[in-house]
Amino acid sequence: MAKGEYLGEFEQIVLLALIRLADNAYGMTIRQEIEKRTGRYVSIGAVYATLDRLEKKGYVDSWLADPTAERGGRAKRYFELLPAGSSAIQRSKEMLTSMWEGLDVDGDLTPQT
Amino acid sequence: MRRLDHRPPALADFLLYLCLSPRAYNCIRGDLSEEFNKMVVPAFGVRKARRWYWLQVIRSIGPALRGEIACIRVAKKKGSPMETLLRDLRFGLRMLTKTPGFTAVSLITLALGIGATTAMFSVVNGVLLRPLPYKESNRLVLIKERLPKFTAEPIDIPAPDVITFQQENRAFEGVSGFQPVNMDLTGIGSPVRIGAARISWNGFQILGVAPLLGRAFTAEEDNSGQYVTVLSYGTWQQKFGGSPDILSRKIELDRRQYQIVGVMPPEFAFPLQSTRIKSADLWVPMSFSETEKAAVGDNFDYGAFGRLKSGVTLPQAEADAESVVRHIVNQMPAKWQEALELHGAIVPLETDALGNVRSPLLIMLAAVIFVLLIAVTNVANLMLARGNSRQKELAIRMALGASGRRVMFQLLCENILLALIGGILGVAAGFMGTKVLVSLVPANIPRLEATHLDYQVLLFALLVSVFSGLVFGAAPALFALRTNMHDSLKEGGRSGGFGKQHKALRSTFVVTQVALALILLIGAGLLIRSFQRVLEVNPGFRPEHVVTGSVSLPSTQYDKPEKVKRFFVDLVERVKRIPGAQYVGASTDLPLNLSWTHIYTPEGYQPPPGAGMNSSAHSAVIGDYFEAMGIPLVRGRLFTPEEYAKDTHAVIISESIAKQFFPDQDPIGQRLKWGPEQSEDPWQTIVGVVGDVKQGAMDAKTMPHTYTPISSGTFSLMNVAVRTPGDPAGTASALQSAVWSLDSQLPVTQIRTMEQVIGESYAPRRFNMILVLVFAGSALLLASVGLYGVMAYSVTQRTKEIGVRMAMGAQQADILRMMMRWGMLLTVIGVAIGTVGSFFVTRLLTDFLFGVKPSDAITFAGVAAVLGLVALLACYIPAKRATKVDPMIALRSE
Repeated sequence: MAKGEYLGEFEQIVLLALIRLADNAYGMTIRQEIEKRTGRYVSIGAVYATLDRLEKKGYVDSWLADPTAERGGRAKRYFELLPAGSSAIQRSKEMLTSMWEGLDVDGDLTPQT
Repeated sequence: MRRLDHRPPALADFLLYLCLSPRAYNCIRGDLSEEFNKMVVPAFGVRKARRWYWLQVIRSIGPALRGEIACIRVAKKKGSPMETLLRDLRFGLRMLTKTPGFTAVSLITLALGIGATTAMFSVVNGVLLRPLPYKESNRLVLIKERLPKFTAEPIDIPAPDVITFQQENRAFEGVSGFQPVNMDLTGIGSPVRIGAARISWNGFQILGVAPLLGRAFTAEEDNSGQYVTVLSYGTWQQKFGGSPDILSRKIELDRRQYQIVGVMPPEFAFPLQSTRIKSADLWVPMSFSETEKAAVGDNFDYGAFGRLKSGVTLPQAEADAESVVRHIVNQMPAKWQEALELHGAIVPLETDALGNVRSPLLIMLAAVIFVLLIAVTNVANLMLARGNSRQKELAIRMALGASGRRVMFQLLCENILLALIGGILGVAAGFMGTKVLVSLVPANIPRLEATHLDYQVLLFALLVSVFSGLVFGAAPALFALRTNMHDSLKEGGRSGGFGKQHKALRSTFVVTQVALALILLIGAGLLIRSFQRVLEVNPGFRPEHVVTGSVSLPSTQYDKPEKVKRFFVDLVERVKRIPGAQYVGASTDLPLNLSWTHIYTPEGYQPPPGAGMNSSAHSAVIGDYFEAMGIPLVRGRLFTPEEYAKDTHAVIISESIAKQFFPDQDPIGQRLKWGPEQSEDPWQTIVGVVGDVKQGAMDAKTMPHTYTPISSGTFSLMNVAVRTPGDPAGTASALQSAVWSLDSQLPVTQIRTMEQVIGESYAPRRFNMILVLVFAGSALLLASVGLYGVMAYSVTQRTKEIGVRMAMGAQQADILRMMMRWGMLLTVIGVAIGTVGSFFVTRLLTDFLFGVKPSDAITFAGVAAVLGLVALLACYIPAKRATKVDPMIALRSE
């Protein structure tokens, strides 16, 4: 298995945000979703950089919608998860789960879904 | 709506714009402004929202600069700007190898243009642009005098004036005298005459150059006339094999032993004057003799140069020179003061050294830049044609997400790559070109040996290449930027979306080329016609079958006038005995190489008020000089043996003097005297009138000429002339033997036939003509290739139209006419513009023309006709091809 097929942490976060947002996944919403859920400051540039990388790997697809006035006449770029992306995030989850299995660490550690 | 009133910070936006590709910018800017207006401003207020916006932008710059933010959809390999550049270059190279024909033609054209420009620049750089080989050479000036009654040009000065200037100037750090002299070098191989220069003891110091070995002269050596010498680096190497013990050696000059005290560095050269062929091989102290010091107001034969004190301007130096000359004049007898009207003059050393060659070299450089421009427009035209056929490729790339900027950058890379390869070939061509150029150049250009490819020339070639790349790349790249991918793709297989604009631009290029080529051709035409005129000039003597050689007697052995005269009388007698010698004579100067002038006044002549003095070229002769040289006797008689033996004040004048002063009377028996009317010289009686001869170059004005017999003075240098019935070449060695039979240590120098002498006088003109002709020929070739290319392209473009026309019944002649009309229209416009341009440009050539006006109608018409014919041919070939179009194939091809 090529190295590129493992997902990095931020890639996982972005993909999960994409899944959560379903039909409304574009730059601004993805960024807000991540910030809201992780409490982590995220720049729009970092989001796009990751999305472009994921697109290149064939995990996500994107298309331009019609321009809107509230965006100063600029089009939204919507993203959707591709089958390859969904199996990749699945794999990442299984990998982490199997690593955690049987470990007893202090505190309430339940993997999030 | 209130929230829309708040605009995100413009500067942050601009930053974002700079860092991102336009598409990525659109997405991100849209997201940011939506969030800014919809959420951040209502929640946190404008100030905090702006700060948030800034933070977002700044934190996005990193990924953007690392190229992590791509354009959408197309999976592209990302890299640093350097990688992008390399990728573009690789791609460019691939594209160039894909179209080998186009690449080869472009490269040859560029190599020609850049090579010629580089070669010419290296000469200009070597000769004109490098500073003279002295310290702060801009402060070095020549001190001269002006005799407005005699000549307008500043002239050298008498020996006593050099000393006065050394003592009485206020503007100079120091003043040194100098005088180029020829000396016989004996004791090393066979005797030779070398070029030396006398120079004052402080001369090297004023020039600011220290000897490489040893020392310069001391004031003591100079003043007491000691026999010491400083060698040039070349002399040290060639005559002494670079021997390290050179400072303990002596050298025999003019039969005296000179102690070698120093060797100058290799780059040192003095005197550097464009009128003298080369600088001195060695230097000896000025050491003025008592006779020289006493010759007040006579022999304007000594050079003087000085270093201006810092801060002294040329006008100040000029004023100082004038005041020194005033002082000199005040010491003279009253009648001289009036007659001479002497003034001081200052000439920057650099002007004197390079003045004569500056404008021809710069004109050649301008000519070669014309050729370069034509070459560059040619390549631009090719590029446009190719750009047209590549338009679909570009449109596809842009449709796939490449930005216009990106495509333009790519094209520029490709063009500059082409230009650089052309430049490398050009430098190689220029390297050879420089060698050819240097070997062709007449010897009168100083410092030519210093011409070579150095980093400045390479830098120049690089700049020219990049400039060419930018120029011929700009138009196609700009068109690419404006490529409308929609239209290009929709047109399917057909190329040519910018039909009209392209055509206009290409037409402009062709018109420019034709105009530039015409200007060059007219320049070349004028020079050729001048050369023709010069060849037609009658030199006034018959140069065929005459061989000459120069003999100079050293004053050590030949210290008495009788000895000198005896030697030459004997020599002429000896040479007469050479088998095949028909006439033998000798003269102080040969035609075309005359330097001696006399001021004369005919008896009873009343000059009109304000007139200058009459000056004539002058020669002292012996033997059958006039017969040997073939100068015709017009009236009276030649000198008799008695007149050669004893000075009876007989003089022979040239026809022009007879015509000017004795138009209605017999000049024979009339008298004239040297100097002004008041001079104490005896009257000279005119015994004969001979034809005028050319004293300087063939294209220079003929001066009046006076001749006296050898008995009129003491002349240690004479030129022997021998006329033979057939080829004179074999006579040369016999001449040398005759001299050696009288004195085995005497060299005979400058053994040449008079035909060679004439040939040498043509050399600079021939060089200029050949060079301009080569440039003009290249220009014509390039321009016709350009025209041909445009026509051929237009035929390809209009194949369908032609097919339709022929299907509709157009005859071949109609098609031919239609195609040729456009090409010839371009030619006519180009010729018209070029003709107007030539009227202005050829004026710069005035100084180089002879017997032809800069606006010579015959040349203009002839050249336009030649260019028209070539253009006709360049149009005809593609147009003829158009008539061969098969309507069926043409229509089906769509």
